[in-house]
Amino acid sequence: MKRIVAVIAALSVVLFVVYVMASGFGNDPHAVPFMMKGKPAPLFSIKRLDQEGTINLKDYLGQPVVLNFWATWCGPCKMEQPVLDWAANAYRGKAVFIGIVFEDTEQNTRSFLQQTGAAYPQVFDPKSTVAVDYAVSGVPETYFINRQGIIVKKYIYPFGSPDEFNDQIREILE
Amino acid sequence: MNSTLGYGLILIGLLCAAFAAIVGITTGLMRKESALPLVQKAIYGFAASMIGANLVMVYALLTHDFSVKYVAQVGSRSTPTVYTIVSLWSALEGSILFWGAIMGAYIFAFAWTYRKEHGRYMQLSLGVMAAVATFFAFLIAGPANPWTHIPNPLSDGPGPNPLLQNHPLMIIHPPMLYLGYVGMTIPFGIAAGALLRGELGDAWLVPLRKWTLVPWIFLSIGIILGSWWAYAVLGWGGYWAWDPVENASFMPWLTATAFMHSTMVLEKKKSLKLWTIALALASFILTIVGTFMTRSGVFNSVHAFTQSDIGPTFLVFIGVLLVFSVLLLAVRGHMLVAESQLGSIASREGSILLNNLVFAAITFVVLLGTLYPLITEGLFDKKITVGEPYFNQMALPLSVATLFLMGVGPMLPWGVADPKVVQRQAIIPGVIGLLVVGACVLAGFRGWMPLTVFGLAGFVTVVTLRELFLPAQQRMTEQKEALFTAVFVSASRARRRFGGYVVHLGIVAIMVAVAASSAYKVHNTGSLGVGQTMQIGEYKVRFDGLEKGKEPHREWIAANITVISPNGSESVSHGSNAPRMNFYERSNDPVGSPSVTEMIVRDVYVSLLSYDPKANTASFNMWVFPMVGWIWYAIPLLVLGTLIALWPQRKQKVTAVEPEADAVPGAP
Amino acid sequence: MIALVLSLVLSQGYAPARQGQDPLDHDREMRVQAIGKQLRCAVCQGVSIADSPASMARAQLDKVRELVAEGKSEQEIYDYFVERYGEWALMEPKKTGVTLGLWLAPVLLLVLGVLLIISSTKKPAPAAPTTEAPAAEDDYLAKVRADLEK
Repeated sequence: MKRIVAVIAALSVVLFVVYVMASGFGNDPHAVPFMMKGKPAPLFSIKRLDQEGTINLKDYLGQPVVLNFWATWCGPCKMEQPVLDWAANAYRGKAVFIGIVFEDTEQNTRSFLQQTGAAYPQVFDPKSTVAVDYAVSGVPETYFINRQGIIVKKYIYPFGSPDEFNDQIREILE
Repeated sequence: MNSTLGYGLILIGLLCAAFAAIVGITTGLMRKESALPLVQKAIYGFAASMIGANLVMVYALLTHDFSVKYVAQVGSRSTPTVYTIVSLWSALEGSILFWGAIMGAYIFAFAWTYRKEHGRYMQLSLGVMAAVATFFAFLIAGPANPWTHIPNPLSDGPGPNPLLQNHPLMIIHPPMLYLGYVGMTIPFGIAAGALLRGELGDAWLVPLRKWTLVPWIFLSIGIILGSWWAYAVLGWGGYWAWDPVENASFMPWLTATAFMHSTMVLEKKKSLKLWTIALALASFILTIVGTFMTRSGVFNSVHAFTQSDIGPTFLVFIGVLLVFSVLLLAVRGHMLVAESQLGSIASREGSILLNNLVFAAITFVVLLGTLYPLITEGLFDKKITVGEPYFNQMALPLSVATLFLMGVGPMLPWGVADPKVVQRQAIIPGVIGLLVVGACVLAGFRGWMPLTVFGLAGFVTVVTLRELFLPAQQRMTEQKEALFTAVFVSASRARRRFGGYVVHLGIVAIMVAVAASSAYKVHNTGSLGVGQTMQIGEYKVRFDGLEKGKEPHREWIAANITVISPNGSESVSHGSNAPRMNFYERSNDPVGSPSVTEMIVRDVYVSLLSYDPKANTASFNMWVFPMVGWIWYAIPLLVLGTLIALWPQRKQKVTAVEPEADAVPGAP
Repeated sequence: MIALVLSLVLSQGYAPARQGQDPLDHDREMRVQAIGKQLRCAVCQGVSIADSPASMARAQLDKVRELVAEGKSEQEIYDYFVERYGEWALMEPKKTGVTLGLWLAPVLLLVLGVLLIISSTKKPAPAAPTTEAPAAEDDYLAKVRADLEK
């Protein structure tokens, strides 16, 4: 009897371990949890790259804001740029778009922007302080901030199409 | 052509292994020993086809046959020949193919060594090993097939992972680790064979012990070289991060080490049979769990291979192994009864029991810490991190406990200890341990943990040296032998005991090195212009300027430095010795490599964080690590000890009552 | 999957290596490094921001430096990161709730193990004569002696 109990106990421990390891299959072990959802967007005020002046987030509170973190060395960031340019024009007057370049050099970014132009304001975060405040964990990452200045969500994939973007922005426009 | 030939060989290997497994286990259970030659032949066939398949792959790599999928994946015409051969195990499919070759070699060596002995267990054990081999052959033939033929091959490939081309250690570290991992198949087969047969005689213990020691030493070397590689290549100023993959290699090492000790109780007291067998089974299963951790994509790790589909297949295999082992122990365990009672806790066997408990606890901590993030995420939907601070807090005190037992155990006799004798024996080592602590305090060292380790190390070293040389001394006084002869003869009369203590000395060196290098490291960081120096402990580091270089497979930028000792002597690290960033032709990511100025008692370790070619400045991370090199310098001691223990005894006439001449009572 | 590739890219420092802030005075910098050891780098493979060579980790360490310079307590600094990444950011799990098991289970195992060992070995009975004569000396040496006498 004692032996049967011991065997059942051992088997259940063993199967639990297997179950635990199996539970990891769907998950991406590299995914970083995102806790900023529902919290007020950290304020910042930094130098513009596309023209003179600074961008202060405070000035835009009250309108929906789309914050795109990117870098010139990041291929997918360049891929999604046309979608974001399209979106900035399509949602003109309905939402504010700001691009934040981090983990990069100012010179690289300037020459990149000179070639491609910018449909919306681009700022440069030289020490990645804004990125740390926003808990950025990769590039590109796009944050959606509602009229109340609350972070509604972040999107960690590059936008492949206008539809993909439309689905994401809907929530902050309401 | 290569694809077809290689894949064909794998299929032959699969058939041979499956045949050996089925025939071996069924005829073994029916106790028809006449079928053994058939099983042996199938085993030889498996080994030959696996090794053959690997040779075909090496040939395909060397001739840049990009029509083979694996070659297209890791080959490149610009890679130096050595690294082209190394790329055999640099990616997932190749590493499993290589795994198959090692498994073939191991099982062949085992089957050949005992081709005329141990008939009662042999079929069952070979059958179990062949069953494991079947699984791996199946992996190579199916889920991890490297042979897929590419009809219109490109003329060049991307080359292996740049991290693997960065340091020569990467050439020998993985094979060592694989030799350790795969080798655990043999003790698993031996132990499972004994369980299936339902008996464990003294004679069958000898191969079990020896064939655990072989993978154990390879695993030890593999782990140490891996940490050396991380230290010399990754540039973050450490050698061990409790990464899931490091943990994966550490766990079977722990259980195999526990096994090596409990087997003494088994031999001497005919007790702990079930536990010892369970440790042998666990060591193997943990190597498979470790492989799963590296290759399933479930764990977050620096070393992990790219995500692959073999995870579920592996997990099913782990489940089968675990259930098989538990049921086997349950059904056959009662046949392995203890034949004598254990002595008091203050005895040799008591100290070994405690040793086993501590090793089991460390294994448990490592396993729990590695799995816990999965548990909280799977069960409570909560992502957590279990990092270095947890493992250090839990495992270090337990490691200090093993150090303590390493000193106390050898002083205690089997059975019941006479307190007076033990006290008398403990005085000298104890006093020397305290003197070591005193000397360290006077020299300005502080901190509980390192001082405890140093004191215990002194204590253990004295105990161990006394155990090593007391028999020799006795021979010298009573037999008037010369020192060398006395040591040699006394060592060769008790090889396992002598070898075991030599290994202990190596472990003591490692523990001292770990304690000193982590407690007394000095760190500094900052940026320098040309000619400027930065103070780091008693050393100064001068930045001498940036240098560009080119090798066939990479370009690099080095920040040339000179390390200035307190006495003013300079050690120049320029060009390929300087801290650098390497740029590989087919990879966009630069890979840093630090500069390590090695001295016997300390290393000065400088890694390049960033550089600015216009301003001619560079910023560095610098450390002074006391004694860190002793971790790797201990490898020869471990190897020497293991070789002494494994060295074959001259064949003696079987008339001897004792099954093995060196099974001296009290031998470790 | 893309996020994975990107985080790898970022962690391997493909971004132009940027110089971090200058260290603070010795005592406060020691605190920065100690706190950094306890916080997980957002873009790396399970190493702390003090250990990681990644540029983003240096930005996070700069944040710690900034908070230390502002005179924030250790707890406040941890809270800043937990607010952003959850308990995932802590290299050492909390000793409360679900993660308590991580700390208690090994202790439990040790206690059970010691009890098991005590119950399976003989009680040391110093006064009573035991059936087994105490080994006066290491039996191995006795064997060496016997060996010599042959």
